Amino acid sequence: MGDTKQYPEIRKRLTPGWWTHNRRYANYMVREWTSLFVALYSLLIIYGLSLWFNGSETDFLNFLKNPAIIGFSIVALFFTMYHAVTWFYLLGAVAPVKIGRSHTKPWQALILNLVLLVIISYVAIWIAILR
Amino acid sequence: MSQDIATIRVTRYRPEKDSKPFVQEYKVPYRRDMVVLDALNYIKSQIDGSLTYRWSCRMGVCGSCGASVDGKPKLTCESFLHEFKGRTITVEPMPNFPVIKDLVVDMEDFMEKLVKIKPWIIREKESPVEEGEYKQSAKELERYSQFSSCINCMLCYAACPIYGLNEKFLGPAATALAYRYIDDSRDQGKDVRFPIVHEMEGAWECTLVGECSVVCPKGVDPMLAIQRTKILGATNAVKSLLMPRGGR
Amino acid sequence: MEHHSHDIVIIGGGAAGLRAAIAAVELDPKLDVAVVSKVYPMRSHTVSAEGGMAAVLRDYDNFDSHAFDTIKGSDFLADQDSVEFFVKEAPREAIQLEHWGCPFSRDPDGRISSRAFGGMTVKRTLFATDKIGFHLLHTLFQTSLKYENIHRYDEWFVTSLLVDNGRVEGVTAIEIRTGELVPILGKAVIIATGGCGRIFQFTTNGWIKTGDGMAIAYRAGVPLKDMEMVQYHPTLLPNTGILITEAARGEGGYLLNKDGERFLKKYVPNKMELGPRDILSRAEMSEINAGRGFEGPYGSYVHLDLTHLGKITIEDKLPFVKELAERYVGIDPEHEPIPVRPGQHYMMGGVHTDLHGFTGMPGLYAAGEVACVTMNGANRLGSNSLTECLVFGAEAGKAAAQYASKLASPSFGNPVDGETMMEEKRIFDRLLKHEQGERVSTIRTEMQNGMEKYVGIYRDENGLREACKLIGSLKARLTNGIVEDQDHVYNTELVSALELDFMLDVAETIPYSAILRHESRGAHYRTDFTKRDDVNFLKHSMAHKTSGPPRIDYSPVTITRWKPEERVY
Repeated sequence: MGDTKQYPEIRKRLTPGWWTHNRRYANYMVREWTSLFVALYSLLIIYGLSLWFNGSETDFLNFLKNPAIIGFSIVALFFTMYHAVTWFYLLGAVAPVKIGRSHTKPWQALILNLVLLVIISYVAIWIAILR
Repeated sequence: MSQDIATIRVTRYRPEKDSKPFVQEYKVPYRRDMVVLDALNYIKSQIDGSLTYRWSCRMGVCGSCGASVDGKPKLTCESFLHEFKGRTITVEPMPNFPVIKDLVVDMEDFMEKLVKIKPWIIREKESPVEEGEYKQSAKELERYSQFSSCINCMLCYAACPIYGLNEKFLGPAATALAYRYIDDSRDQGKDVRFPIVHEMEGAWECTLVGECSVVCPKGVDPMLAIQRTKILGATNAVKSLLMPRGGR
Repeated sequence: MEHHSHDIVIIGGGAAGLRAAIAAVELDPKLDVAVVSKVYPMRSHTVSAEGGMAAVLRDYDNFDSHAFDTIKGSDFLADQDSVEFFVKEAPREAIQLEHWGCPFSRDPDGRISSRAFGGMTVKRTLFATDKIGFHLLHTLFQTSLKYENIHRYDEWFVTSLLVDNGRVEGVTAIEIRTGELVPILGKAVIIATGGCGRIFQFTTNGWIKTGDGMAIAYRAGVPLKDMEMVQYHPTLLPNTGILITEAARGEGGYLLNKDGERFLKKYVPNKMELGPRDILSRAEMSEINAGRGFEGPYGSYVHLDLTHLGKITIEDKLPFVKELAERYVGIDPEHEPIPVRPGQHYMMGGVHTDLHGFTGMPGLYAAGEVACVTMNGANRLGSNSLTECLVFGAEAGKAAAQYASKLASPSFGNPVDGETMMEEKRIFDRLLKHEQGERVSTIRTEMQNGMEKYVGIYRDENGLREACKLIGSLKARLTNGIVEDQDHVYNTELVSALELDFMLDVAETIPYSAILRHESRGAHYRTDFTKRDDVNFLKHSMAHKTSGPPRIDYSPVTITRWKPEERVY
């Protein structure tokens, strides 16, 4: 008589390219990779700050003005924005707010947070530089 | 008059005969309001009686008929042929599960997880039935009612790459059901369930892919349940740090 | 030979089966209970029930009212002692279910809400939006996981009862996954396998409703009672037969004909859309036959109009109805009426039991739709069935537990061994070894079409006679049926063939019982005998298996306090 326990297991497993099958899977992987850039950028800034601490503000600024660092910063800015946008959206997905009989949608949280980001960024830049 | 025909490509696997799965093609007469399940039933009754799949209610509430239709985890009773581009549709068993035969997959892992999370009302003291129902407000009901809609179809496990990589992951449906009980005002079993959902392969294994909530046919939103479980776990941990004796 | 042994074996993992299991282990925690189901329990057809479950919970309600509504609804064929027992136990069962976590919809004061339902004089149908069956089943199933001594045999298909010297000793079952036939011994067996709607072509019932338990009991010698009482539900979606709950009418929906009129004022002027299901189904058919129905690609239909209920009522109380209508007929009920027509839904008849679920054969009990206690008589009121499963499921569980605790274990010996081997031969040799013959699905379709045509809402002598002949010839043809799938592993075609074998046996009892009932009562309507005849037919028909056609005899109806009267709504 048949007994499936004797048979080799047949199971469709994840292939290395699993994340290419679906727009959402791909967005997820890119989102996860962008954390790498956020982390690297943070490390670079910490290193730069250590230059300031051990030397002078000029050392830090020279470090930042290095073309490679500028190049990396631009790339990192782009990825960090991507990261922020996806996380703002997720914030909306995991914390829906009840309004009347319906709930807020994730894109609404995204817009709200982007607006907050712009406002806070402007205020920060104004305090730091423009004042 | 030539009849409209649809081609169904089904992944077959019969352990007694086949060493590995293969694709078999069938032609079925096409009607606009046909679902994939209708096509499978037509094949089984008119063309090939050996085609094997699960189904029962045909209205999307029993959860039997999960499969991968054109690469997407879906209930075959809710997948209308006209949703798919062209007249060729691929039907495979749900990924991430061992295949028993054709489209039938092994559900035992999920059944074990179901028992593990203790999906019943846990109370310190049961009120006798004579005293009437536990009162629950509409608001209290709303906190968990969405998560009580799970039909155990397991499409979420088929969609979750974390589960695909690690079978030990508690997974969307089980965690959502655990949360359903945690947030039910009548339940007092937080302390019993927390260790289970907050263990290594519990809620924390989730990295917010979110595909589970996309494929869920009943709008349960297991991703939301998992994140809420994490929030509860985190606040609970902080509380027990600040107030080690008491303060529940 | 491999075998399993338990104190109680329950066939079927739906509301009645699970409730019986819990009741048995709660009564006696030392008992070892097996639940054997051909599907995982959460797939049981209980899951599709939508409207609600009836129970007297409020001060404006009382037991006599619920009892009388039920008895009048049954066209006075119900056994009134079981109805009185039922209405008194119903509130406990409802509260117990709530304690176990069922997410009932609530009133502002936090108590369980109730809605109006067909044939009920007051609002006593407790609901959980419009998915009570789903919530009830999942609550029961998840609660049953608490008890370590409830053992489940998921996806095991029971093929016969093991009977020794007139006493039940267990069952034989095929483990679908491996194809092995194994005896499962039990001191007591509870049948809770549901109805047999798949005998008909157009039914709300899921694929698994094939009358397995009815056939198994019938073959073991237990009579099937009142089989001619087949409930046709008034509001099914055309083509698919998907159920649109009575709750849609309970919340205020209208039934309209082609002229846009609420035609029920001609048939049930007082209750209108909340009249009992048998009268409503016939009313719809009368309208359709008179040319006042709509014509569609799948036959005639009438309209169920919910457009005046408002967005909030539909979203809060009928969300599943909206989902089903949108998905399967492309209609948004907030803006357009839903096409509906009557179809088979429930079997009032079934395995004969007393009000403790006892069938008369020592060790054998039955509860739920499979059983005929009878509390539903010739027509069931909506929302009584789920409560019936709980009340009589619990009662059968307790009765079986009391019986089993007094007995020594059945020994696995010669009779069981021999019976099992014969059963193996019957199934595997007969069905799996044919090389040529007729497809099982062909025979099944002919049965379904024939039953639909001859044993439908309107019946007559000629049609019923045709049905009797048809079933007889189909049974003969099945002996030459073939099963293409020759595997042992997960052979669903073999299971379908066995189910068809069951269905034909059960189907045969319906026209044979109907042809002898020369009256119209409840859901059984004869165009040649249109009046109810209390003098000659206030009795239950009992179909007994013979080597030929079923033998029909009768048993009296138990009347306690309510004398039969004219049934008008």
